[in-house]
Amino acid sequence: MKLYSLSVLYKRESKVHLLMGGYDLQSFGYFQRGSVKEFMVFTSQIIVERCREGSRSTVKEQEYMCHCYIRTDGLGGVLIADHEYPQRVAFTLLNKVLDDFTQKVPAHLWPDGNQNTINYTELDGFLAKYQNPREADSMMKIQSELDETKIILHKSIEAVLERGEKLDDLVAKSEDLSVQSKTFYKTAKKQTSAV
Amino acid sequence: MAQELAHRILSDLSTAFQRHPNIDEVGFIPCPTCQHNRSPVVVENNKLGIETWCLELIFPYAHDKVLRARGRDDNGRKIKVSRSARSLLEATRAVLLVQADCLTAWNIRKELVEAEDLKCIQDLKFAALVLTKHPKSSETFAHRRWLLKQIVQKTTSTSLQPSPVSQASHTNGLVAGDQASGGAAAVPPLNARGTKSGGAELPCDEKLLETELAVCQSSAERYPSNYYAWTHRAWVVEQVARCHYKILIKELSDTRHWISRHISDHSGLQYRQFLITQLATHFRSADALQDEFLPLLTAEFELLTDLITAFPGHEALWYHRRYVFQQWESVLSMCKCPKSDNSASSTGKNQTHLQQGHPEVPAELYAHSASSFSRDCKDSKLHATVVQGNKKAKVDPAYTEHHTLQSELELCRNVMATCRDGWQVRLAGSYQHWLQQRILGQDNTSL
Repeated sequence: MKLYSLSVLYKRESKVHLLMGGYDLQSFGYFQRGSVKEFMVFTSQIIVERCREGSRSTVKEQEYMCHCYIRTDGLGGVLIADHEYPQRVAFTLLNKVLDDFTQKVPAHLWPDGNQNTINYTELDGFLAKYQNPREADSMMKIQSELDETKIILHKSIEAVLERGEKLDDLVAKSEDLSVQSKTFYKTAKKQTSAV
Repeated sequence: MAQELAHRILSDLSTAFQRHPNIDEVGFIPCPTCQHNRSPVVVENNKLGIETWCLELIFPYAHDKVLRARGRDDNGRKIKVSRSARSLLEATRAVLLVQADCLTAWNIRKELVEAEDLKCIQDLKFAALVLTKHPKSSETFAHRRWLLKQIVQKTTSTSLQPSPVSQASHTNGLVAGDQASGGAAAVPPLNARGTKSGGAELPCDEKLLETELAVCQSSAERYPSNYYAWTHRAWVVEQVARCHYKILIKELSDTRHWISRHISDHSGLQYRQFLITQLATHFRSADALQDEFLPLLTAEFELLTDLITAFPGHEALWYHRRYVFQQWESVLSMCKCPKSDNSASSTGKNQTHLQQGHPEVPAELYAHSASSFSRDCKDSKLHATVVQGNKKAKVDPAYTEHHTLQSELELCRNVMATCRDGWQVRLAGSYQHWLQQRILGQDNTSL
């Protein structure tokens, strides 16, 4: 069970931007890590864009699970993990991270904030600590107020897109993805469809 | 033109390997066209990167060289060509970095090893590098096995004799019924009991073994449920380490953590099953089985209970539990004292039926399920049998208490009553069903 990325985003009037991200990409090939990271950011952003405020959802994409929680005040968190990582712990972690972020970063900085203006360095620590979900053992036992039935499950990223939207087009249009990452996406796609 | 460029890239590759002898990973850099006027071969932090645009140039070029070395041209017609070892090494290396399952290329390297143009250790290192990009390439693992055999043969022919354990290792341990009957007889205990060769040295080079296990570990890490990596690991333990007791125990404890972090990895769990089955062959007497092997199984049960409850809904864990239960059963049946046979006395039909029908089921299993039998089936006769069966038990009650049929069924009931994960409930249900079928056979399905 592995955690790959943990990001905090802000959503207002259906526009979303990344406030801060933490990544653990050790398990990817050295030359892939750059592209993988770009895609984790890209995916997190799309999911927060397409999910409603006040909702919890899990989007399955190939062997990855993207857990997403958006609070009603527009602050959102996305945790990308593998399929073994327990969902309950994922959402408890997201709760905790957003609470911590709210405490340490004043809300007036959120609308125009980005990774350079916001000073929040806890994400890597959270990722490292929660790589072992047992760290959250007490939380696993509490069976917190989280009601699993309220977590919406999507079977792919395509499933959260609006009608007529295509992931391929979004990738092609994106300005945040480098040429290398777009090539990476195409070859990865070719490989999975060939299998 | 393209040929020239391919030739140049191939020599870039060679230069990279010469300048950086410690390259430990290879990867492709997604790059559709040649954008900068520089070599597509990059080394950073001892990681070798090859830009993808050049693959379609160098692969056909090198592949052609490989085929020609085999005396065939592109159309399969025979031709006469002789190549230097060096150029063959370069060509096969390029081919294998791109397409690791090219058997012809590996075979050429085997010939180079035989001609002593290439050292086994060098090629093991190269194959390990290939696995960082192609972690489940079966041909690469097969080539490693060939190389290891070369090394092992060299060392055994000079010094060591095959250990007695290796001969036993092919019989299927406890699962084989014929061993069960002789289990309590006067077979002298082997290494594990410290009498014969307990403190014996490893039958192989420790460093070689360590490296090989590390390669398996990293391949398993790079590709989930990597069957090839785990079967290769089992082969290494069997053929290189000769199922040495110390190594089996070490592997069992080393993979414990890995399993806890990869709870849906069937292949990894299967490797543990291999270890446990091999370990069982080290304990030949009933006492040894009971004192040293049962605790291992108990620990495995505990590990599984812990993982199953903490991380619900993973089929692999439940299947592994079936295996452990089977092992448990066979050990108990071996430990059962054969002489106290007073079954002809009071109880009649039910008992004889049970004993004939299920010789492999030890009385203890019935013993601890006694309460549930009498409660569920209201069969007092069966109950009596069960109690009598218990008297025959020679197994230390401390072990049997925990993992009997009864406690297994209770685990299932608990999970089904409390777990909110539907898939987990189904898995528990199917395990429960399996237990019932297994113990009772077709005649007592009413439980």
